[in-house]
Amino acid sequence: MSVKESHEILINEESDKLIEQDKIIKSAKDSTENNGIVFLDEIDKISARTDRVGGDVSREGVQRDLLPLIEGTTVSTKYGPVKTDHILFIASGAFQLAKPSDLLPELQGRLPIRVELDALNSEDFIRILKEPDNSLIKQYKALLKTENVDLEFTEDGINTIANIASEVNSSVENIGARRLHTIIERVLDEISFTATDRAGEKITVDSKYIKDNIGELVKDTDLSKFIL
Amino acid sequence: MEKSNVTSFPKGKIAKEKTTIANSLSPREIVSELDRFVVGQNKAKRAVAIALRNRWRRQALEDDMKDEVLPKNILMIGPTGVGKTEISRRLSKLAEAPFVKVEATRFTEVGYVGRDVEQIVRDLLEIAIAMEKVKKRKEVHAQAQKLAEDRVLDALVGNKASVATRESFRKRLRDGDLDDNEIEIAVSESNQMPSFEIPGMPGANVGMINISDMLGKSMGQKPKKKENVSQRISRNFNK
Repeated sequence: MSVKESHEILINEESDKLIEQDKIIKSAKDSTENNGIVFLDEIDKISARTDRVGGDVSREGVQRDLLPLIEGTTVSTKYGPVKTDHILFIASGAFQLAKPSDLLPELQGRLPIRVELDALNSEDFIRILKEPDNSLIKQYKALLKTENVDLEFTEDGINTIANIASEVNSSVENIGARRLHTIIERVLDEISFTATDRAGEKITVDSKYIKDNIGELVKDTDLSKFIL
Repeated sequence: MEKSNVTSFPKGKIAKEKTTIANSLSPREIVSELDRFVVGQNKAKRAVAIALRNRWRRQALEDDMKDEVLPKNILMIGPTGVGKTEISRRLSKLAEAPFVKVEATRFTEVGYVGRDVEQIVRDLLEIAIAMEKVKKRKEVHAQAQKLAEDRVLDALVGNKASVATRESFRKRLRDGDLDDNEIEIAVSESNQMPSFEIPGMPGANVGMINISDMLGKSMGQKPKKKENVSQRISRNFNK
């Protein structure tokens, strides 16, 4: 291998020799116990639903398994016991079918802080498109920049995307901000495909362009169920 | 955590030394940091910011009080795609704390009912170890760099070369002149021991651990694998 390549490998190897494994494990255990954060997604999916009987594995069992973990127990690992008392658990769920009160009471009690997140409307979508550090719009611009294509979104173009997103979300199925991905991907389908041949061009995505590309789909609910 | 040479680690001391940059973030700063990536959802951001701050507050407490303070776990409720996962993903980066995300549904699959939820904690520990390693590596970076350089020089000029040759090569190496030259070095294979779990006995993979580590240490870390054998350099530079 070349000298340059060897550099990193050798540094890693040498530093591994300098590091004492025992100390690492010790401080890692300490930081797990005191700073660890566990994010439990889809917790609503393990709540017992009364309207669905049989054929399903016991969901309550899972909740009961989780209880000691959240309450604080000692888990044996290959590096020795780890106490879970001070690990922070953040649970999240949509709770569209089940309610938080469908969870085992014990489990509810162990998740004392409840926060609700609001459904997104088209204003939020506009902000999502524009504001975050690596927003979707910025991502697509950067992607096409690699092909030497200048992509420009006009203000009303962004508004149109946001409006379509919230429209489809309300008429078909609410999948939140992910709807923006599907819509932008659709809108830019043609550009993404041909960008390689269009180096040097400047493409402006405005309201008209968007409507030309997906306007029909949005109107037809049946169709958008499948495509958007 | 910084370069302490004490052999015994008093617990309280570790906690106090664990002052990272994140430690100086107030809840408000955490929220505004999250604002960079997630739009809106201020209630949720506030809740996680408070929870995070509370952990640092707890670290600063006296030992007996510290054990009493339990984290206030959070339940986030909201339809899909509004940023629940995104908030916690960003949070974990801010917190510089070990973080795992698990789908609760993983434990309901048929045949896996209640499948060892304790695995979550084991995963968390693995992540913590990896993080700790990266941190430690940074600390010893300068020293490691020197040792690595010596090994490259060994490969380039051999260890019998005179000091003068060595130093001249060292200089050229540092200037990046030699970057493209091929060398042969022995690298030890990443020693991932295959480990398996015995069903019904969580944590039973204990028996399998670190035989390679033990052997490696007692035998002075023998190189196990030679990589990329192409030795042009000696001819090119022995003028």
